[in-house]
Amino acid sequence: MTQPPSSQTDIVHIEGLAHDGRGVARRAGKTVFVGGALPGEEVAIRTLRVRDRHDEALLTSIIRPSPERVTPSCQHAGACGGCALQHLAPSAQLAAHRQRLSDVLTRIGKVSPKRWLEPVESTAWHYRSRARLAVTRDPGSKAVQIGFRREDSTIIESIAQCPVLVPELASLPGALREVLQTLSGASLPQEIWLSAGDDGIGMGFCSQKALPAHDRERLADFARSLGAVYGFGVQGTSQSPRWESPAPQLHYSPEPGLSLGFAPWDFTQANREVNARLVERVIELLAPTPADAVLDLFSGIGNFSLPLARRTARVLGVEGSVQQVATAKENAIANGIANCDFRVADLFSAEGVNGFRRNDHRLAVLDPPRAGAALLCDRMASLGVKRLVYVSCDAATLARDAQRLCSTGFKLHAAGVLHMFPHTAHAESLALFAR
Amino acid sequence: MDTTTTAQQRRRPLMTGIALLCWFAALYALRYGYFEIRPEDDPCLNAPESLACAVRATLGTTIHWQVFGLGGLVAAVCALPLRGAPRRWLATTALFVSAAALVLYNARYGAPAAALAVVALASEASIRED
Repeated sequence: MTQPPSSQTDIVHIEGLAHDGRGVARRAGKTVFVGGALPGEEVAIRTLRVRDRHDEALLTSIIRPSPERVTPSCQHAGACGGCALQHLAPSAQLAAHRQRLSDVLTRIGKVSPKRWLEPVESTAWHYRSRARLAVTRDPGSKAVQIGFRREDSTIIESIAQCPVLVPELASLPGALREVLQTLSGASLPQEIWLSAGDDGIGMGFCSQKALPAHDRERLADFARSLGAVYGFGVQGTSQSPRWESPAPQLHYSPEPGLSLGFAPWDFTQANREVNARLVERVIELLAPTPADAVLDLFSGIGNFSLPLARRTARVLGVEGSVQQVATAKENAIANGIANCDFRVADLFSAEGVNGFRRNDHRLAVLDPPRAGAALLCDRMASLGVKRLVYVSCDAATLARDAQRLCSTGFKLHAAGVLHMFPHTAHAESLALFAR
Repeated sequence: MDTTTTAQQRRRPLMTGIALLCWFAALYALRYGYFEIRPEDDPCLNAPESLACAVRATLGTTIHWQVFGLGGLVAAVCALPLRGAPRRWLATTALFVSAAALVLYNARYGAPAAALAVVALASEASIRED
């Protein structure tokens, strides 16, 4: 139940950070979430929403700031939903992510690692090599708005530049707005997917229905003028857009001597620098021998599979997306790797999870989406896997799955965080399980 | 006791009361004019590295550690066993410090400190009247 906002000001002490980057305080025994507040701060708040289990409050002023508080560099910080933690020093962001992982492993997973891995830092700005920009037309002024959605809102924070995007992409929102403004107005792309590779940039124009031919041509001209690869997709009523084929390709290198092709709309890790460290660390933790067989679950376009295939007897990559499996196979061929196979399977269904032979793979890598991989974790021990590296973008689902793995005989040997997305409330986590 | 001194003594509670009212007004001005301001005017939200924020942080730290509340409480407790002018001065100081605590978010210790300071001042006044 929600009660209306209050005009009364209260002073609270912020005790920690919530999963979404808001400050957490206790008031009269009840939890209060305060956006923009940092641990250790004394802040003045006004209650916005009163709920049964917690309250949500607006930060009105800071009585005692945290020494870790910094001036946000981006003028859209605070409004843009992309960066929830720009007011916290990057090193403190990483420490907060590490603390949160520790908290959820203890609270949800009921486990703690035997050792903590050294956190992997990132450059704080211009690190992000892909983004999905939302697009709309203001019903009143008819002006095109392009940017990221505000926190918990469908409203778009219109931006011209984004300082977390890599330099090749950083000023594209403003340039795209100019072009979109010249379109016929019959329809607009609802999202523009931007991606940067080692060899250039790519754009995917995704719309609810197919764009008129002259608008497509105008967008294509714009992309070509920047030397970008591009493509068009139609969302329709489906969950994910249908992109036209053949998909254009960009390339990136997860480790020296390996180049992976991908379409601008394929999933790849957003931070190339940290991804290289992630691949290195996964290999280090898995410690494969040339005789080993490795199972790579949620293998995508082969980010872990192909580096592992260079060090082991064989690798089987499993992925739910037919398109990504096809790209992964092409990447294996293009890099002259013959001991790596890829298979399509729905790893969230019992059918997909039961489709592996027992005792075929001693080592496994698991890199699921935010929802985690509960079913797979229940099956992992019975598959004969002895050593598993779990890469996660959601500490809470990692903790839940850690409990499942530990209940089937695995032990949590190591865990750590990587600063994959500086200034956001998200971090990449890594855990090594063995039995 | 001459008449001038007696008149001064009679005026003292009134002067203290007026000074206390002015002190409360200043404290409330500090609270609502400096601490509880609009987010766009808050130096710590807009420029945490600025001198303005550093000043605020210093004052905020005294609030965080309940310096006014504890200071007032210590002064009030120390005033109780004393007699004469030392008791009166210490209790008056405790009263002003605890007033700052009450307004500046340190009510937990500020309230008992203010009560003890008033008790100390009242008992000193009754001794003098006797």
